[in-house]
Amino acid sequence: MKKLTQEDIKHTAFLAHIKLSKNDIEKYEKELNSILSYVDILNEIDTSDVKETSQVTDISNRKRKDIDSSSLPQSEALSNTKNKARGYFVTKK
Amino acid sequence: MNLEKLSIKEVHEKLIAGEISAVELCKFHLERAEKFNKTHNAFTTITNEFAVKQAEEADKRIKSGKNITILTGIPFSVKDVFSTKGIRTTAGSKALDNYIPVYTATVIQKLFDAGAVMIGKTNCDPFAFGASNENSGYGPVRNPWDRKRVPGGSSGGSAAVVAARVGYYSIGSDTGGSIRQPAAFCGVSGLKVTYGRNSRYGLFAMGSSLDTPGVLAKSMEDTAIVESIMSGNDEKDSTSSQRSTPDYFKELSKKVDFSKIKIGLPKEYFIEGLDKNIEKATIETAEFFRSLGAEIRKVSLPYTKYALAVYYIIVPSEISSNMARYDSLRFGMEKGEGYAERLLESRMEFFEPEVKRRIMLGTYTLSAGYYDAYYKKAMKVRTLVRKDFEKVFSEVDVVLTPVSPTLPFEIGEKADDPLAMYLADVFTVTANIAGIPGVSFPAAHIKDEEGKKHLPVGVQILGPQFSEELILKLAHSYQGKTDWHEKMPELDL
Repeated sequence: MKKLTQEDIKHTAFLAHIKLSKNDIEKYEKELNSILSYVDILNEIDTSDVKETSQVTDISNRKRKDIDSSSLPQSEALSNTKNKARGYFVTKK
Repeated sequence: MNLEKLSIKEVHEKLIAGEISAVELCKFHLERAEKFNKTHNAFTTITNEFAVKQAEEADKRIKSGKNITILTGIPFSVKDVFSTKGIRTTAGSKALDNYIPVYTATVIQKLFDAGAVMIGKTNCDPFAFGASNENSGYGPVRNPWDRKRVPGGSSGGSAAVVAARVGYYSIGSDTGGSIRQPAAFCGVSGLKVTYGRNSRYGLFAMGSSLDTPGVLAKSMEDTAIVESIMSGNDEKDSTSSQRSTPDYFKELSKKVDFSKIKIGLPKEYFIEGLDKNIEKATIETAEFFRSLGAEIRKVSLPYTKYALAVYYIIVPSEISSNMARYDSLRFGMEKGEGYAERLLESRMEFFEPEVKRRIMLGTYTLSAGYYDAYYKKAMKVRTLVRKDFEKVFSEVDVVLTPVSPTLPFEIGEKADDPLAMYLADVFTVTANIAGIPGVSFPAAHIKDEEGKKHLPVGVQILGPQFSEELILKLAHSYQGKTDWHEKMPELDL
C-alpha cells in the first residue's frame, strides 16, 4: 500500500476541518502510516466474491408513522449557544 | 449493614420494607462517590441535587405503593456519553465542557421512568475513543485494584465505580469492547448486547453500525435486572430491533440443562501474547462448565486475525462522518470568529489528540480514491467474520474466550504507541463486527509482578445474535458457584 506523505496529511486535515501544527503533521504522518500498514493485512484475503456488510441485523426501510408529534422547542434548540438572534443561529461568513 | 455490598434485589426489599429510605440510600452513595472521585477521578459530574430529587420522588412512589419497580430508589451512574436533559454531558471531551443536553437518551429515560436514581456521570475516553481511559479530557480514571493502573476503557469510570460499590450499576457503551474490557480490568460483570437490542437514541454516535448501550454491575443477576428494563424497540432509533424482550431476570431462575450445552474454545483466541494466567483462567472456566455437564469443544474462527484491522478501518471511517457535526456553532466550546475560522480553531483547540487521530484516519480511508481499498474492503471482510461466527454457532451454542490479552496495564505504558493501544481490543472487536452479544465476568485474581496487588481477570461468553438470555444464564450459573464477582478492592470510602 502507498505510504502517506506530509502532503496527504495536509490534504486530509483540510477535508477533516482540522488545523494541524507542523509537529502534528509529522506525528500523524508517522502514526497513520503505522496504523495503515497494520490494516494492510486485509489484502491477504481475496474478497472478489464477497458482499459487503454495512449493518448486521438486516433491518431495512424502517419508517415511522406519518403523524404529528411534538418537536424540540426553539428556545431549547438554541439553549447551548450565544450565537443566536430572533430565534435563529447566527454566524458570520 | 454493608449497604454497598447488597444486590439490587436485596436493596429493593429493604426499600419496600421501609428499613431504609431512597433518600438515605442516595446520600450514602453520593458520599461514597465524592470520596472515591477524589482518589480515582471516576466521575465527570456528581449529580447531588438531581439525585436527591429523584430519590424523594422514589420515596413517594414507595410510600404510595404505586408504580414501584425493582429499580425504584436504587442509585446508579451513567457513562458521560449518554445525553441527560439539563445535566452537563461532556462525552469525556473538553470540546463539550459546557454542553447541557435538551433531551435524555431512551435507555436512560427508561431507567428514570422505573424510578432509578442517577448519582453521577462517569468519566470515559473522549466520545468513547479508547481502551484505557487515558484519552479523557478530564484525566485518566484510576483502577480501584491498583491506582497505578488503567481501569480499561472506554467505560472505565463506570467499571471503576461499580468495582468500588458506588451505586449498584452503571450504564456504559460497547463499540469494540468498551464494556467488556473495563469490566474485566475492574473485576465486575458486563453485558454487551446484540446490535439493535438496546436503543442508541441519545448515545453519542461513534461507530454507528457497531455501538451498543449496556450494563455494568456487580453480578449477572443485577445485570439481567437492569437489561430487562432497558432493552427493547425505540421508534427514535430505526436500527433498534422489534423483537420482543424476555424478562431476563425471571429467566435466570430457570435451571440450565448443561447436558445440552456445547461450549466452543476458539483456537484463534489462544495466541502468542496472551498472558499465561489469563489463558489458565479461561481454561479453568471451561473446565467448570464441563464439570456441570457441558460439552467443551475446540473450534475455529479463522478470520479472527483480520477482525482488528476491519475494526480500525470501519470505526474511524464512521467516526469521521459522525464527528463532522461538531462545528461549535450550535453547542460546545468555541474559539475564533466567523464560521470557517471557528470550525477549524475550535476543533484544533478542544478535540483531544485521539479524537483528531481517528477523524484523520477515517477521513483518509473514506476519501476519494481510497474508499474501495479501505472501507469497502473492510466491509467485505466484515462479512467473512460474521460468517465465521454463523458457522461456529451451528456447531456449538456459545464460545468462551479471554476478554483482554493482558492484565490491566500501567497508566502511561502504551501512551506513545496508538497501535499497541489498539491491540488491547483484539478479543473484543469481533462481537461488534458480527453484531453478537457477549458477557464479561471475573474468573480469577492474579498477583501483580511484584506479588503485592491482586488484579482481576475477566472471561467472556459470546453467543449468536439475540442470545442474551442464554449467555446471561450461563454466566449466572458460574457466579452461583464461585465468588470472584464478590471480591472487592480495598478502599477507604
